[in-house]
Amino acid sequence: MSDCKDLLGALSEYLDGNEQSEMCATLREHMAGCDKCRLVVNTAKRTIELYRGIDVVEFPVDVKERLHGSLREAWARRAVQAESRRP
Amino acid sequence: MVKRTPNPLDRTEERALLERARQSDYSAFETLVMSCERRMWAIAWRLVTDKEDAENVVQTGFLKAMEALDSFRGESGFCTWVGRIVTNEALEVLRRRRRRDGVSLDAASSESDEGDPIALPELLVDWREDPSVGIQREELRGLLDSALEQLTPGLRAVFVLRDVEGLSGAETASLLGIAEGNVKVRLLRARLALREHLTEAFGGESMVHSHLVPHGLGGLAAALESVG
Ligand SMILES: [Zn+2]
Repeated sequence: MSDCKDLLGALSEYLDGNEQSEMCATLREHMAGCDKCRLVVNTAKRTIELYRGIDVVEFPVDVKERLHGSLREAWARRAVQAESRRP
Repeated sequence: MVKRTPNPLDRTEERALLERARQSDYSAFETLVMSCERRMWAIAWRLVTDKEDAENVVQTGFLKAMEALDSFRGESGFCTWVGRIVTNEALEVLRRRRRRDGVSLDAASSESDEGDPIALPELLVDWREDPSVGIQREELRGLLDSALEQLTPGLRAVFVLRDVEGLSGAETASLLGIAEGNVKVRLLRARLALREHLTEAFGGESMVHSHLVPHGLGGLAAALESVG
């Protein structure tokens, strides 16, 4: 059985899914018998999952409106420029 | 409940829209924009954590994409491509702030990657079954944002690029101008720090403090070595 401190080294690899690596094999083995490490790994995993859910970020309506306004304007300008370049 | 944005465009649809957009069809371009604007906002917001800056970043990103539409070869998806542009804009904002405030983003100087010990997991308590149940989405947003804001800009950038955007370690390193080994160390720090913050919010009643800590600096050094 390895020490819990080994968890740190392998944690990121494990979370990144490099589970075939030797470090991860050690961690997995250790986790089978250590509640604390299992808990850290699981809550770290859920932390990442929460941040990956982009809907958790609010996309403000006013930002969206201004974005589309300025894109439409730029598009129209582009069209005029393209027109004027035509012979 | 946290749910994902519905039906992204598939590649065939996307290619057809790009073709139409190149032939000056604005509604096609608009559809492309709408397929990833939320994602672009999430990237920008999480990197710069300021509404006005994030808005500028997203607008500039899409405007640049518009200008470069003819030269976009479609090796990657549209959103991936715009994502790179938006990321670069956001990093530029962070660099400008660093020059203004002297807060480091690239260099290891002000947030040393090897020197300081990695904060070990302290709160050892399981989360509620689904942390997003029973709290308003607003509240969840607030929690995630404020945890992220407590990271230094350098840690936050690594976390957002690697874990939110899904870039590789190498890509992240090259965007930030740091070594890949530093990306690894920072990612671990960031993940652990966020885990602590969220555990404070989502953990059950009985917070238990870790017995991992007494391993002390020897363990830390070993852990850092195996990470770097
Ligand atoms: Zn353990």
